[in-house]
Amino acid sequence: MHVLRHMVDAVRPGGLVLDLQVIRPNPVIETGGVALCEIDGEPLFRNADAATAAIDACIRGGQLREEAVDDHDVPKHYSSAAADVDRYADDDRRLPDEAVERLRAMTAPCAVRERCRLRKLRLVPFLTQAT
Amino acid sequence: MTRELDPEGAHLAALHRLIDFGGLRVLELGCGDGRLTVPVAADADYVLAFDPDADSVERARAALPSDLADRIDYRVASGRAIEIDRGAFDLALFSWSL
Repeated sequence: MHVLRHMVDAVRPGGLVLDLQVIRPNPVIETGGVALCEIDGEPLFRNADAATAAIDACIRGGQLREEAVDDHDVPKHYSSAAADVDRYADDDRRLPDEAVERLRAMTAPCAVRERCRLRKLRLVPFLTQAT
Repeated sequence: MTRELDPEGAHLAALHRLIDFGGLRVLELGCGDGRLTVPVAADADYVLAFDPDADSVERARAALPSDLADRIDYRVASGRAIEIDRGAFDLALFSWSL
């Protein structure tokens, strides 16, 4: 992946790369702590999978070394479920058809909770010639 | 409609669990409206943050705290096009941007 190579070149040998991506399972829409439905996250997961594969290739190639991984949930809060539906109208991800009308009728605030992964990677310094 | 991404600071907490940004020169790809940039710059030496979305970068510039103005450089650029000196940064942060 050209962008990854370009960005990694900007980091000094021994420096760090942090990569933040969405990961499976699908995001969940909640209101009042109750799950209403899942969102089909596959369109975003495909991009994330490609990025992960590019980084994994750098690890296999000896340019990066993974030092730590942190998985965490990230919420997005909406003033209403209807507002959430509107937000996904122009998004790659899809709400289930059967949930759209039910969500549109709800006025309560809601949250979309999605799982994210932060990877900490270190640029492996170039080997120096032994004396 | 109001929308608030990560009001609980889960992303920033995760960053801080893995990294101490103190004194680092940071390159941030996909900075958006600077949601992560500003708190990272509070500790870092310097952050070059860029995003191809000009509207987002404009919002980031408008919200830039004056006390961090000399530590954050926002640019409208893509990861492919931006020109960066080789080895100029201690850390690169990709926010859903690869």
